[in-house]
Amino acid sequence: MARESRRVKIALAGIPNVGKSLIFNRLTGGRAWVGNWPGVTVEKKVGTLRVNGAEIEVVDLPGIYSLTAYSVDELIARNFIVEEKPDVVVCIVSAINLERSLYLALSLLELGANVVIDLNMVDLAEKEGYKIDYKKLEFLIGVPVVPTVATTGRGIGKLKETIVKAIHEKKVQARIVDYGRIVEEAISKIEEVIKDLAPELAEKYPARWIALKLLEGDSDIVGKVSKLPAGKEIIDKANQLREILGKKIGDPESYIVKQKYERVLEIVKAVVERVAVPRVSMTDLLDSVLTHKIVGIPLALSAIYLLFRFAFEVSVPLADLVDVAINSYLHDIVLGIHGLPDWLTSFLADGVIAGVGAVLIFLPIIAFFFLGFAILEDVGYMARVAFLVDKVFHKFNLPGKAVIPLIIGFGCNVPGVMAARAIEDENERKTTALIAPLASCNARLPVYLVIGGAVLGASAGFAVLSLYVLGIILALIVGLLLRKTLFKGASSGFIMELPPYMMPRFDNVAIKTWERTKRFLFKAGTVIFLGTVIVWLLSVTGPEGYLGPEALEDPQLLRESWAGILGQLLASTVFSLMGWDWRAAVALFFGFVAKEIVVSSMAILYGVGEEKIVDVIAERHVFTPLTAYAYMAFVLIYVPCIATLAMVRNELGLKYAILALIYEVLLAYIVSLSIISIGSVLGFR
Amino acid sequence: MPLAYAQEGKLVRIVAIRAGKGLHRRLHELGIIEGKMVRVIKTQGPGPVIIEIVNDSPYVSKRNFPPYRPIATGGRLLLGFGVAMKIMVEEV
Amino acid sequence: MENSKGIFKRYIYVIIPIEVVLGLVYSVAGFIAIINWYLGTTGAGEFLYSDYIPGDLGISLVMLSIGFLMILSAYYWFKRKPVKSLAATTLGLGLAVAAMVMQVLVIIASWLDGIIVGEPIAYEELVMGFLRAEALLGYIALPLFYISLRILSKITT
Ligand SMILES: Nc1nc2c(ncn2[C@@H]2O[C@H](COP(=O)(O)OP(=O)(O)O)[C@@H](O)[C@H]2O)c(=O)[nH]1
Repeated sequence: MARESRRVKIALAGIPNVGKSLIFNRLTGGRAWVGNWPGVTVEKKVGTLRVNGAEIEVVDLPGIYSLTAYSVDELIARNFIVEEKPDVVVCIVSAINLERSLYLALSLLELGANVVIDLNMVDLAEKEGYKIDYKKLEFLIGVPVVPTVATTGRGIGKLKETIVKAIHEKKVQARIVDYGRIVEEAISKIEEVIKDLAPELAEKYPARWIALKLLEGDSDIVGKVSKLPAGKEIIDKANQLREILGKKIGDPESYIVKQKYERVLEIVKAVVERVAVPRVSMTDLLDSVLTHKIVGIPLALSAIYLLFRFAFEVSVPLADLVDVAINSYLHDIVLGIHGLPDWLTSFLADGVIAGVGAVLIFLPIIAFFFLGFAILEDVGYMARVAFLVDKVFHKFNLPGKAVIPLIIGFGCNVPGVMAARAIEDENERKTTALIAPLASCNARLPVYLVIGGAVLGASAGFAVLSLYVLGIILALIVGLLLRKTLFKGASSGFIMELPPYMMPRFDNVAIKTWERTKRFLFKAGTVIFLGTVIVWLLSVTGPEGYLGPEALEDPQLLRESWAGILGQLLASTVFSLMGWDWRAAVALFFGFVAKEIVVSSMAILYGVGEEKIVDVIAERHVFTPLTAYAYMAFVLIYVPCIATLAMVRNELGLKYAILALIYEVLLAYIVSLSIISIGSVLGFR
Repeated sequence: MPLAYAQEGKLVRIVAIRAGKGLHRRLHELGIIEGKMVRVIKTQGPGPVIIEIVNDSPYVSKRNFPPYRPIATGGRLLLGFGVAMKIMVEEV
Repeated sequence: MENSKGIFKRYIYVIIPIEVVLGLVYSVAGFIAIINWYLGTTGAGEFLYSDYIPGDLGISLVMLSIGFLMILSAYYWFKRKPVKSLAATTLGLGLAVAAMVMQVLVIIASWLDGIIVGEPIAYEELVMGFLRAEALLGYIALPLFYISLRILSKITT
């Protein structure tokens, strides 16, 4: 009975870029529960496949090449298969990347999974001039093979049918690879020992697979086996055999992998059939220009420039629409409600609505930025950008891939930090997540524009540009320092599949844009909203108690608030060398919450509307050009806003969030101070 | 010669991989195995490389199609500078 | 293969000369944009051709990149690598089209913005936006881009 009530469960496996997410969507209709695998920040997606009235749970495994213990993703996948025993594992195999995908398929078979092979992207193979005899492939590996084209949906119906059929007829092909007499003998010896001494182990895992892993010296399995009562004996036996094998065939691990690969090549050779004279591939042609040594970089910069233009200039009407709707319309409605206590009106209007407004005004810019970015990504261009910068990044002990979180960070640091997940090496991933907040996000720009516009005059544009560059340079330098100190250790290597260029697909682009924007909206939204409320509270209260909403309009009164007192304290102590006004210091303090708020709090502090703030700063000579530039640099570097810190905590833990906080404040201080001292030595004012 | 120094467009044979256990295995699993041939599609010489793994014999040569070049069913791989320095190759 | 030779002939006589000239024009415009940018930052003087070429470093980068690609294309041509030459041309024209489309989008956006904010719309300024260098040259690039993309997709997989 227990067996009956258990839901039927299938898993999707495949190497990266085989079209797994698309297949997942095709099977489940796109609706999915998204979360993390327990204990790690690797995304887990679960959906439901409905066929003939039955409901089947579909679990998306991480994109992997193999099932070793070297990578978290692979461990997740194999533990899932072993422990949860999905009824079917659908292995998606790419027809244009047959060798590596079949290698994974064989690994899954060896693990004793009930595999169905989805031979995807057959359309692209045909374009390349070859065909895959899938019947023969089916025959050779003994499990069902279904050719599909995920983009058009061809073959998906057949795939569903095959999955349902496979649920009832389990096929196990654990002996798919023959490792040659010597190794096979060793395998069967260990298998016997396992069956004798630890039958419970043999129940859970295929004994042959355990034997193989012990011969390979797989750390995870060795650890698990040695915990068993009879563990020591088994391990000793395995080690003894390993040694004997080592003398005959070299390193057993390396030998086993090579043998498996040879088997893959054998299969590939048998099933691939050339049907047309191969022509030059479009991808190689485009790559010869797009990754060109000389023109590649200016092209990438041009693309990013156009992306920025798209984000900032094309989104203007939407941003203004939001602004009008919230800051005028909604604000007025709240002010118009009679009978509310004063403090509540102020709380709603100046705290809640202003806070939500501060976040939402950026929503269109960020959405447009991520829309443009998703298009570049879906076309396949971002992988090429990683290639272009790798040589430079390598000098800073970072992989070229680290450029992607930085570019995303230009949009919003929160998804930028999150994008560091894509980096396999742990040290490199942590470093990248910690430096991504140095990318100058959209929220910092208004600060630059207001202060630069007011004080720097004609050179404002150049100053702003220089800050973007400064952000990247600092990110690289800090990255290098982190890699030399906290996250030492050789890189495990930057290796990436380079998929062919493709037309961007609407659904892919829409999903990616939405996922990143959503992160800004909810994560940033809630945290920034709370922060704004706190700012409001600190401004309308002081040592003498509640000051009333007038504090927000009257700079004299504001001085008496907690926020004012703190600002004066900051300005007279730590910032005394910088020559900043106390109001500017308070604005920085508020900027902790979100950089967006720096400008609006300055407006409040100088007692004018946001539209006049530029004039006020210019007329009152709040900054000299030098202190203004130092202030802008400080805004760039110090604390990446609460939401980003929350994300760092989410990804790396509290310890690293605190580290990020401290290093950024310190760095901001050092850089600003250097700008001021070096600037004044050079005679700037 | 490390792969990072190989010339664009050249066909090279992998002679040794000087890497730690994990990377060594990863490379093997991607098909970068001692003795196999690799075409250097793009390089920033010396720097990261884009390669295609070429298998010695062209798959199934149907009579009417001359074997211009083996069908590469392996896709393209991007190897970072660091990795490309650890793979030793010789020109074929 | 015969077929693609025919296509190539057309390509030689039509696209290459136009493309080289276009590339030169883009490069010149790109340089002027840099000069204007410099004039703007230092306040040293009036913009050159201020109606057509903004003082914007980004747009000058785009225009110079288009110029570079056209040079690269000519270079591949002389090295007898016509296919690569075509690829460079196509990408250059593609970038040109992208820049033009972006400019048009920006104009539409500022028009919509005027309506939303409720300010009087400066139609003259909007119309001048259509005459900016990257837009003007982009109109020329558009049909050429279409043609070279067609040829490129015919001869490749
Ligand atoms: N032409 C073609 N493109 C495909 C097919 N399947 C997936 N793609 C494209 O391949 C790319 C990668 O797909 P994605 O689902 O993101 O791969 P994943 O990394 O495995 O999740 C996307 O741009 C898809 O549109 C297919 O069968 N044919």
